[in-house]
Parts: sequence; structure tokens; C-alpha cells
Amino acid sequence: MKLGLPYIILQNLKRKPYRTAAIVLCVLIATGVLFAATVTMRSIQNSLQVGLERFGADVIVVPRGQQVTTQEAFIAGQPTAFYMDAQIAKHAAAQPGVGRVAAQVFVQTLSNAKCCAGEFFLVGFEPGNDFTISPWLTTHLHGRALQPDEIIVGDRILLEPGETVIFYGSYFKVVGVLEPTGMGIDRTVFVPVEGLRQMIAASPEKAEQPLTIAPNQISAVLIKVTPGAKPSEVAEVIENKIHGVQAITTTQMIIAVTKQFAGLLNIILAVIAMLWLMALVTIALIFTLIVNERQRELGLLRAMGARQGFVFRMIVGEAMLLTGAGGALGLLVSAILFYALQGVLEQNLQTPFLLPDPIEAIALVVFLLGLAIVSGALASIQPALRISRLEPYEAIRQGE
Amino acid sequence: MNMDVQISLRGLTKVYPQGATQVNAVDCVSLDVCAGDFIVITGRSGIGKTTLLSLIGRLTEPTAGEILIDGVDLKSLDDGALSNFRARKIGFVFQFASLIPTLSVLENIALPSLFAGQAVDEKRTLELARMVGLGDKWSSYPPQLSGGQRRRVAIARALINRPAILLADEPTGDLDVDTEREVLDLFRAFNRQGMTVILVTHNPSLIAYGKRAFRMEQGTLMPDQGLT
Ligand SMILES: Nc1ncnc2c1ncn2[C@@H]1O[C@H](COP(=O)(O)OP(=O)(O)OP(=O)(O)O)[C@@H](O)[C@H]1O
Ligand SMILES: [Mg+2]
Repeated sequence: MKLGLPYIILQNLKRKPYRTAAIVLCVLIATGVLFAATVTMRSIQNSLQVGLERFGADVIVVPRGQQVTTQEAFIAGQPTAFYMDAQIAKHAAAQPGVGRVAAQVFVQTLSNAKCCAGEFFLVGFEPGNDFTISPWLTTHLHGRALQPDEIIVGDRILLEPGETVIFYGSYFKVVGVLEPTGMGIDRTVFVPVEGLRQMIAASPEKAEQPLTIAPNQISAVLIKVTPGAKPSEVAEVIENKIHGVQAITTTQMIIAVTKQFAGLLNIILAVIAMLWLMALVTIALIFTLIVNERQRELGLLRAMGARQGFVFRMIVGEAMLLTGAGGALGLLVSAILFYALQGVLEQNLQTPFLLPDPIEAIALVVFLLGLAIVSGALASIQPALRISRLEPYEAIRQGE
Repeated sequence: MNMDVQISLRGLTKVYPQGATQVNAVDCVSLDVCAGDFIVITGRSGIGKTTLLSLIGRLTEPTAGEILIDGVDLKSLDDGALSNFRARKIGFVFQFASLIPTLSVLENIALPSLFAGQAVDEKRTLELARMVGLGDKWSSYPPQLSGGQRRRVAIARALINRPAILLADEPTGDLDVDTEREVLDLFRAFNRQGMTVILVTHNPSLIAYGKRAFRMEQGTLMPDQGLT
């Protein structure tokens, strides 16, 4: 016979299966939503932060009117192509507060042509000046200089090191895959600018559609400001001094993305807080009813020699088991849904997305499970205390 | 005080407020009970019999007076000691339905051993189920039993921990004459082994089982002529 506190609690849960299921469902939803919202929030923050660190640039100078396309390119990896004079890089370098300067050339590849592997966003970078990809090169290629036909790809480009790929009729060899950032970098192919220029020059004879990018054209200038200089001030100076360009700070881009979600996130947070409060109140109410309903039985247990603590643990234990089970199921369901719908979410939100690392995820799971269990205890503590302190005779009599 | 006295009630009083007035359900009862005694208490409905038994089992606190069990004042016990006392020393047969509906017959009978901190003795539990004539019903649940069967489960449960004192409140109220006799024979057998029995009944013919009989009137105990 397995008679004991856990067994008695389980038997109690079985007596009203629908009520048990309803409470579990209630907690399941509350925990699941909280988990999904937190992971979403953290994924966005995470991705922006990692992307920002990796990016390294403080200001991006692009042709005037290209702010939105630039943001889409850097944040979502949306292929884009616009050009300006290469002299702008030199002008920018001369402005006060400007530290390092690196030019980039953007090329959009063809999606349905034999000469191209597919539609990609190619970024030609200057190995000598670059500070976005170069740190990675230093650690992964031990500082070896990149050959013109060697490329580095983002995590979301489905190419492995060693593979060869064709763009505009020219072949390139993948030598590295960047770590995921959740930002546009993940969908970008980085080509040394020398290789890119060769590809452009050869395109009239090799490609189905020639590229008409002049050797003195670039797409963007990435700027790292000098220590102490304010990126926003540097950007302002550049916009004033150089005609026809727009200088976007990285912070501006981050803010633009965060702003899209700030309102939504606040609403979600408020809804979740209400959801939890409602769940808590509902469970507290249900347990007040449960205790009233079982008052006589609980009095009988005490009359047979059950201690106050036994009755208390029985009620609180039942509540904690219910909310714990609901919480665990909620986390499980939420995690599965989240994993399954990650792609859809990413697309629909139009935002960089980088799941928290496993340790953070586990910590979150443990925390939310704890929160669910503690909520169960909180919701049942008052009725449990009341009934356990009642005289057995009173409990039996009143409960009749 | 006699050394053999097991239960000693001194001016035991329980007053219930009832609207503007109050009811002295138990009014200054003093009684000494020796170990192995068999006391039968009769009395009209609502006179205070259940209240008196509840006081002895310390299921409720007296308004005045004291209860000493084996010389120990029950008032001095904390929840742990009191629960221990109830679990190990007292067997209580309640007047009304008292089974836990979610537990089987066998589990119901075994429940007090859990509170006494003892391992469940399945053999003894089954044996007790058989003694009260429920050998074939041990796996049933209370809602599947008749009133009399439930009562018999409660009787077996009261005996599971071999209590020193059995407080039986109208234990045979819903039993037929034959089963009633079987139950009382069982009490008598336990009583011969030293268990003190305090039996409350409306049935005057059960007075014959007792060594002493009392009639309860206006909250007090009067010796019943029939026996003493
Ligand atoms: N919790 C209570 N609050 C108020 N009055 C109570 C309470 N418990 C009992 N009483 C009153 O105390 C008196 C004695 O009740 P008790 O249950 O002890 O009677 P009884 O002798 O067992 O009756 P019966 O033979 O019908 O079981 C009754 O008048 C009852 O109304
Ligand atoms: Mg009564």
C-alpha cells in the first residue's frame, strides 16, 4: 500500500478531473505565454547586441534617401544596390571625429540565371581597411590574407567552407562561415573588393546580365569614430559637409528596430501580468472552495491524528503540484511551438532574431517553473492555514 | 488520585453560544476512568454526548475544566504531541459518515497508522476488514458501500492502531441486530485485552455490554441504575 501524503494528494487531484485539468490549463497558458514573450524579447535584444558588437561600425554613410534600404540590408540581409562616388570615403575620413574608414560595395546577385547560384547580397569589403569582418579573419584564418576569389559567408547562407559558388559567371571559394548574429550579416556574402571588381569587370562576357558598376563607385562607407567622439555628432558633420549622403548611426538603427517592438512588447507585458494575476486569483478562489468542500474530511484527518502541518502540506502541495504541472506543460508546449514557428515568427516580425544561449534558456525555464510553483503556494497558503488551524471538531461540524 | 486512573475529567465544561444565550453542552463533568473499563453512556438527543467524547479526544477545547490522560493534562500538549496522542492512544468512531471518499476501504482502515508514524501493516488491515465483515470489500471505495458497511470501515479504522482508548459515538446506529452484536463482541474482545471503551448509544439494550453505565442529562453524567 502506497499510503502517504503524495498518494493522498494524487487521489484528491483525481476526484475532480475537469477541475484539475482546468487549473493546469490556466497555468499552462500563463506560463507558456510568459515564456514565449520573454524568449522573443531576449532573442531580439540578444541579436541586436551581438550584431552591434560584430558590426563594429558607429556610422554608415550611404547615398541620400537610402536609409530604409540600408537598415533592411544590415538588419534583415535584404539585398540592395545603390552607388556613390568612391571619393566620399576620402572626404569622410577627413572629417573631425572620424577614426577608421572602410568602403563597401553592394551587389545583388541574380535569382534565376545560370551564371549565379541564387539571389544573394554580396558585400565587397576592403581587407586592408575593414573592421567588420577582419577581426574574424584574424582569429579564424590566423591573419592569412584573403585571396580575391575567397569569400566568407553568413550563417544563414547555406554554404560550407570548401564549397565553390558562382556569381555572375565568376567562381568563388567559401573559406569561412561567420557565427550567427540574427542580423543581416547572416544573409550576406562577403567578398574581397578586389575579387568583386574582377567579377564586375568580367560580367559582360561571363554573365547573362552585365553589372554596370564603375570602378570608382562604392555603396557605403563604414566609420569608426575616434575615442571620445560622439557618433551622432560625427554623422551630423558628415551630412553637412558632404553633399548627397546620409550618415546613419548604428544606435539609430538599433533604436529603429527596438521602436517597432517597444509598443508591442509593453502591451504583451501588461497582458501577461494580468494573465498571471488572474490565474493567481482564480486558483486562490478555487482553493478556498476546495478547502470548504473538504473541510469535514480535513477535520477527520486531524481527528485521526494528522498534524496541522500535514493538512497544510496536503493543501499547499496539491496547489503546487497543479501549478507546477501546468507550468512544466506550458513551458514544454511553448518551447515546441516556439521552435516550430521560429521561422514564421522571424519572417513576420521582420526583425533580427537570435535565441538565447542554452544556459540562459535553462535559467529562464527554471525561473518560470519556480514562479509557477511559488504561485501555487501563494494562492493556497491562506485557505490551507485557515483549515489546518481549525479545531477538528469545528471542522467536522461546520463541514456537514 | 488512584494510580490506575487512565482518564480523569475534572469539572469539564463546554459552553456554546447560541444566539443571545448559551448552551452548556457539557456542564462540569467529573469522572475517573480506569484502564480496561467499559463505559456506556445513553441520553437524549442533543444532550451533549458527542461533545463529551470530542472533549476527551481533544477534538475541541473545553471552556473550563481539565482532562488528564495517564496523568498528563491535555492542555499542556502542543500540536505535535496532541496529534500523536490522537493517533496512537485514541480510536474514534464518529457518529456520522467519516470515511475519506478518495481512499479505498483498506486505505481508509490503514490511514491512522500513517499518522502514528507506523508502516502500514497490510495483514492486520485486511484482518480487521474481515473482522468487521468486509473481507470481500477491501478494494471498494466509500461511495460504493452501504451506510452500515461504511460504519464498519470506520470501526475497523478506529481499531487499527490498537488504541488504549476507544471513543465510539453511536457506532451501531445503522446496523442490524446481528451485525451490531458482532461489533460489540469485537469491542468486548479488545476490551478484554485492556482497551478502555467509552460507548455512546441510544440503544438501552447495549448497556449490558458495559461495566458501568451513565445517563447524560443537562450536560452532566448520572449513574444509570440499570447496571450500577
Ligand atoms: N459547534 C457548536 N455550536 C453551537 N452549538 C453546538 C455546537 N456543537 C454542539 N452544539 C450544541 O450542543 C448540544 C449538544 O450537542 P451534541 O452533538 O453533543 O449532542 P448529542 O448528545 O451528541 O446528540 P445526538 O444524540 O443527537 O447525537 C446541542 O444542543 C447542540 O446544538
Ligand atoms: Mg451525538
